[in-house]
Amino acid sequence: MQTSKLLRLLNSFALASFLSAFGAASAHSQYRVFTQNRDNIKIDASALPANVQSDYQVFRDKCNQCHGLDTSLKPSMSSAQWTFEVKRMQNMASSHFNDAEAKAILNFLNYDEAHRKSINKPTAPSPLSRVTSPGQQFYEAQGCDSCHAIGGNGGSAGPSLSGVGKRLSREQIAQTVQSIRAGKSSSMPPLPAATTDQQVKDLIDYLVTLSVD
Amino acid sequence: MQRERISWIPLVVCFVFVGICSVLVLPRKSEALPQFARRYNLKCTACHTIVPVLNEQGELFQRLGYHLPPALLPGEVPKKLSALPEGADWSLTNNVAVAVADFGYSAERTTQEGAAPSSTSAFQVNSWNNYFAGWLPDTSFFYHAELDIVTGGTTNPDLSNACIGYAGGTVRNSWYIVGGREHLQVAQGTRASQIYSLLPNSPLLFENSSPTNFVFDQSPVGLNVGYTWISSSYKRVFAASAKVTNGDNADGSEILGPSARNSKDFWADIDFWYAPESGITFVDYYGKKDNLAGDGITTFHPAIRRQGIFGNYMLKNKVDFLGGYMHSNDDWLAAAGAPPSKFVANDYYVAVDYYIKQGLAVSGRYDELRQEITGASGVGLHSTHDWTVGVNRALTPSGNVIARVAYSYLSGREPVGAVKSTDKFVQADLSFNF
Repeated sequence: MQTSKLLRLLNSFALASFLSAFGAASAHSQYRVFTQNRDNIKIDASALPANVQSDYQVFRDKCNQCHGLDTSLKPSMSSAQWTFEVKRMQNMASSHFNDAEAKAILNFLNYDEAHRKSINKPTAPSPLSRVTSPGQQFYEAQGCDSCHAIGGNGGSAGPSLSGVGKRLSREQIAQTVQSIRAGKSSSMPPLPAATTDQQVKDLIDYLVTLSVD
Repeated sequence: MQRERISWIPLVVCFVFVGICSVLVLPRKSEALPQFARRYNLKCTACHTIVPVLNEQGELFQRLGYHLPPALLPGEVPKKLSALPEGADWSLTNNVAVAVADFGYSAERTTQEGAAPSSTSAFQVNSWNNYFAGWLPDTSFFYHAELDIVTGGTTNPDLSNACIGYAGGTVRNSWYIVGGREHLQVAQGTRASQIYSLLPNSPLLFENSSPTNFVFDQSPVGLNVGYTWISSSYKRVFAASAKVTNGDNADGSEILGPSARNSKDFWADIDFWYAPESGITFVDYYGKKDNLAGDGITTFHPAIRRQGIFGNYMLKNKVDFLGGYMHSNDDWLAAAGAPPSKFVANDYYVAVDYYIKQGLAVSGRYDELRQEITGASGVGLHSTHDWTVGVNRALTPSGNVIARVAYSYLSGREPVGAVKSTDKFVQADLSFNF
């Protein structure tokens, strides 16, 4: 009888330990910082409008399966660019989300773009304090720096563009930009449809000047 | 058949062990990831359901010579493999995983007719493997080496994979050729046909030694060629591969001494993946190996044949139904001078993996192996049954630390002497992928 009680006690303790281990994993996950997949940006889901909360849930469940959420929460892109990006992700081999879920993810990203990111965006420097070329202005307006870095400033999702003017010829840069403009690149979102030939030329002119690594 | 009561104490101990270890090892600030996850800045779950079982992306990643399959938009011209971005720069840390380890508690009780029951239990390092894999920078050559320090709780350093390959073609029509030492059945074909599963032991058809001592769990040296066709959006994949090897002994050990005859293996598989995560595989194996006859003294040179069909269907990305059937037909010799006969076996398994949520899965498997030696030396058709259940839980969001508890019950008679035996096995373990 006493042995039976002891076993029951041990079982309870074991179950508690096991559950606590699972619970501990869940609790710790809120604060974990990845060595590679850093999740530093925190979204307070309770502060989101009710209709966006469910979209955020889909975004978190689907995108967080393969990479840290910072990968999606950090870059700033236009609605058209996010549409392209979500479609691209939907076509990945193991991204199991349907059109309705893709729409929910896009809804959240657009909401996040219009609210959190617009608040956090640095204000444009005064034209008097910072002289930039038309190509650089276009580069920044399109949010290219969300994914690409120049001189260490910018995102890391795409390759650094420091020294691109030295690594590639003008023709190669022009070919790449035209391919992106035409939506033929599988890894880059297309430029807006309203982009003019002059803007493309300005962008190429700017990239050609980036000769410092 | 009267089932014996298994003591609760080992279960209690293993639960406590897993609980304490889980709390102790859970990192607060950072966590390590194996080589490919580090290199691509992805989580383990990008390529695995729960490590080490590969998902669709992981399968394709491997078949494309360790290139991540890029998104293919409808109508898009597929890129050449050599044109795909390689991710982060090559570095030692991005190409080496120095400690993929599994340790835990296991308890086993075995009974056999004519012998006293035996029980064993141990806290031990079940496995410790080191991987070195990736591709040569600016080329389409890839390499894969696996050094197993501990296998099955025994320290026995073994280079189970050491090969180099070349992948060519485009994302949608690719091919590879690999030479060197490769595991016979680690990751060929769909998930149901792989030696890896969410449970501690593989299905019997992969792990069981036949009377000819042949097991699939071996790593011969040879040449492997493969072709992969992928539809846009990866909804359908057709793949085929063939392997010719200068084989090991039938039990997987290396042929160290002089052998009067060559040992050769031929392996082919045809695979079709349809819809996400589901697929079907046909496997054919033929080998000729020196072997010991039933008397344990005479050497003979049997042909060993295996044909199998395997399939899995993933329902709503939640419930994975898996099953496999394998037919064995080996030459058999009872003793010197005895008439040649055959060892014939039919083995099937059915399994269900239920992914309750990401990183948490409950699994169950039923396995039945029917074995017979034909002719005068045979003792009739005998069956072995194996039930296994288990729970897997990833303890980190990246999926690189996994706790598992599993129980299996095996019962049956072997085909040479018709001796009945039972085996109960409990294992609670933690695996780490650094």
